[in-house]
Amino acid sequence: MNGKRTAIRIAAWALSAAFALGTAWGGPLKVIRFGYPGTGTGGRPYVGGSFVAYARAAGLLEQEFQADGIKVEWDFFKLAGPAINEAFANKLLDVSLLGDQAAIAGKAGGLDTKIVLATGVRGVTYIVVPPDAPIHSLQDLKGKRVALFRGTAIQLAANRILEANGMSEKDLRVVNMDGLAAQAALASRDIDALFTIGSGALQNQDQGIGRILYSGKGDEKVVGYASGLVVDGAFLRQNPEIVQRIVNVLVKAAAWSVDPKNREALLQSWAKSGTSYSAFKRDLEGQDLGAILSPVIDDYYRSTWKKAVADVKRFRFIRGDVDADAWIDSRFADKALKEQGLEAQWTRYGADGKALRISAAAEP
Amino acid sequence: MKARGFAADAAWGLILPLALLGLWQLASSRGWAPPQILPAPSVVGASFRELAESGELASHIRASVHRVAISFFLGAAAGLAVGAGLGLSRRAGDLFGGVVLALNQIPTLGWLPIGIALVGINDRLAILLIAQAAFAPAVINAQRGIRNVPERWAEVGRLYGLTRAQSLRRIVLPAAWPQISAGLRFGLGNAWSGLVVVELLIGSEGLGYLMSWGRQTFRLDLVLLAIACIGLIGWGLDAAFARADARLAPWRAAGGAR
Repeated sequence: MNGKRTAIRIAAWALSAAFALGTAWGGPLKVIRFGYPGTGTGGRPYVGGSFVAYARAAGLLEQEFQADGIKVEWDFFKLAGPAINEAFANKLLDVSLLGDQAAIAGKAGGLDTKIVLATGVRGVTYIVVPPDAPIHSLQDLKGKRVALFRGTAIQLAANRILEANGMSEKDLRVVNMDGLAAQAALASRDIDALFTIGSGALQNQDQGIGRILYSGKGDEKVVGYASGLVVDGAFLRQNPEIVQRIVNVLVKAAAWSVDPKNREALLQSWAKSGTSYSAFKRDLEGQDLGAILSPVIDDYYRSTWKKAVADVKRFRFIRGDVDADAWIDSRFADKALKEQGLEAQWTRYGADGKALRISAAAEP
Repeated sequence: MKARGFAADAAWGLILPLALLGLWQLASSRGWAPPQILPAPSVVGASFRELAESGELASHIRASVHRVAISFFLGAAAGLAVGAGLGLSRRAGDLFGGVVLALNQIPTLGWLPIGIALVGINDRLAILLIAQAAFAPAVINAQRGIRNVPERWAEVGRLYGLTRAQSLRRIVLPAAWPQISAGLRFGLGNAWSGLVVVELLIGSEGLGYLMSWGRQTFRLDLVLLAIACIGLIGWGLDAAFARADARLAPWRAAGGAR
């Protein structure tokens, strides 16, 4: 009886694996499976904070591939990067936006992936506490219950911030929670603080459940987190022209997103996620949108990933090593920028984060 | 004769685990599942050595065993007291027995939301939930064990002129013990598996934590290692309980209340 059930289960598993292989290898491409870490409020399939989020809200990839009969399937992962790695391993995803820590953990674990486009850099991390909590400095967090989302960019960012202040995770009572669960736990006072990236912190402030204890804006001691467009290796080898078209669309979306005259529309599209327009607006305040939403794979982008690999190793989140230079493939992004005449649109930064002098040709 | 019986038992008992190990090896070498999802036994073995040498594994095991020891003791002691009360007083049993049975149907995970609301996310939550897992089976089995002692045996005690205390100790306890101890043993198993559920959420130590950490950092070898440790230690706890029971319950060693 039991054996029979097991046999059925194995058969079902084999069948689903065969399907996955079938979609990966069989015939012309019918669907692009696009992943994204996190969901909108209450699990809604919209997100904010990146030009990929805008492309999703505006349906740009769907438009691009409609004529070819290729569908774009979006999958928003509540469990974020760690679950995206599992999906890549099971061949359930072709492309995904992914933060540095999870992407590195996946690569170190042997996933066959490439990073083909920058989707964000200099990411800002916040620490939020209840408004009236007697916590006024990072040192006050010692021994407190603090939520952070393990295995995601938040964890790497949190460890960097703690380290810069002479602390470590061991000084806190860490509770592993996803971003939305942590916000709810903060409101019910089940935790004393949370680490978060992006606009959620400002939303908490608006709702009166949170006060921002720390903001990474302008903190020179701490490297901001990075994210990138990660593509499955086999998908890339079989469909290089499709990947190029995805990158083309997203570069165009990036150029649109950083254009000041589109700011209102950009924030409105992000607000579809359920996080408010004003939270996004204030998250961006004082930041150079062109720099943080740059799709350009420049020396600064590469150096950010190299630092992330070094830090992830130092914090012992991975075993082994990752060669960031071999992993990051800038051909697609470079081609897209050139073809769209956008090479001068973005400032290129050196490994030290300082703007490089724009080449003579681009100068007036 | 007995020794050979034991060896034969052990050999039979090893067949399935070894077969599973073989299947696992085969599955990973043939690539039936992605190596990141199902690492080879050798990879898990390497992680075991690494964590054992650094002392990390020992500290996780210590944390888990410590949590379970405290919680099991609290839950079982409270459960025995309540169960004895319900078993000895028919009216109390009728009043509360149903409630306890109903509560017993709720798995550890089901207590989580209300547990968080009651005590917050901390070690007290772990102790509360694990103690609860040991509590209900202890109550139910103590109550039934005592209730099922035949009335005639108590009459025999009265004929011999035993006091109530003497009759409890000499007749009721030995007669009810097999079921009481079964309840405790079941509760211990419950507590151990409940621990994992709790540690997945809270804390930065313990085998459940190691499991969730492995998943978050995409190291499924750590997940499998934690699973193996949880299984082996759970089995060891059960075996230790059975041994201790046979040794420490004198009426059992003497042939019991037959």
